Amino acid sequence: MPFAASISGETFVADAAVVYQEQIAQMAMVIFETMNALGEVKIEKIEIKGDKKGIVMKLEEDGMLGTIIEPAEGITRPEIWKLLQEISAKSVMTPAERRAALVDPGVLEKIKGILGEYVGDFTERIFQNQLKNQNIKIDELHAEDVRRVILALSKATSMIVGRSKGRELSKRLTELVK
Amino acid sequence: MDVLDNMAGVIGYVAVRADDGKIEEVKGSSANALSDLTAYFSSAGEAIRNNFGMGALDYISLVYGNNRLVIIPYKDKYLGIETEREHDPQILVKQLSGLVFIKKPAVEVPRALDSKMRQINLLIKEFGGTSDSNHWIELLNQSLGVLGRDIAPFMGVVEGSLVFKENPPPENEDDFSQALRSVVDFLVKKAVEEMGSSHARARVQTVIERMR
Repeated sequence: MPFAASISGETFVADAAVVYQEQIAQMAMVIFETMNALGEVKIEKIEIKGDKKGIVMKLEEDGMLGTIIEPAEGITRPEIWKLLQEISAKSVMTPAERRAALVDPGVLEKIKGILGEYVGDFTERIFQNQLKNQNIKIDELHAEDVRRVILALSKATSMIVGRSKGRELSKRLTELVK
Repeated sequence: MDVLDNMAGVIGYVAVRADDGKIEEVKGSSANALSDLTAYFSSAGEAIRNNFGMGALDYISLVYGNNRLVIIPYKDKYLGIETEREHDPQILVKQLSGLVFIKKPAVEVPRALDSKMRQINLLIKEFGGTSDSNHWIELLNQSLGVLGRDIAPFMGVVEGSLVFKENPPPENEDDFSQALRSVVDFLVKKAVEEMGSSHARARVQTVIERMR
């Protein structure tokens, strides 16, 4: 029973999921609000599994794609995620629009340079670890990714050299991408 | 909750009360806000479960970056357990409910890594003494989260000592060794900051002598 919901409040459901349209809209609102409250973590996938039904969702920048599953359907988790991946790939954004939304990856080198002033010998390890933690794809870098990296690096820096330095770094890095 | 301390692949975990979301326990080396994620999403998940008539909740799984958080109802609490993103939440739930027992091979750690691990444990003991060990274990966990990202799922603090929970992949030995070296450097740097360079140097010297 596939469905889609946008951040702006629209829902689109398959015929089989029409009975759940209202619940889907409410669920989307709860999830977007929860993510908003948490801020710094970019959640990509959510599964909620009960003993009678399950829901899986793939979160996009402007909404979510998901499906409701009943155990009788006998579909496995990998099959569901593959299906959602295929639907998600058929995005309404054209390749040109996608490219236009990208950020120059050179900004990451500038970030690393400034980070080095704060954490010295730990720079390379912290920088690479945070890129991995945030699942950053350098050839597909968005402004939102850069913001998350800055936040993560500032947090890591606070741990190494103290909170005030972490805050200072955050300010400098944010200036860099304004 | 000791079972989680020893479980391979667990980076960190948190227990929050189901009725008011109050945090009861946080452990491990996660660099993410596990308490907030668990408290907020357990509450959201309950509302969604009720709304859809999903029956008893088995788990909620969130994937972010390279990690996964699996939230599981447990007595009057929710456990939020962070693993790497490839970890199957269903297997984790079965492991915890005792339905699946994964026989762990004996842990054999290469000498270089074992030596670094020993050095870290001696430093923690030396810097923390008898009264301040929790502070140093917390610093150790934080540094593992920030500096030892790849090695963190293989290691954990069990009963006050850093241990390997499973065999590290041989191809990662160099990188893991460097990660542990960074953790050592960080602990020494903190000791210098907190107790002054001459005190810190004396304690590091004691550790070097014990390592011989």
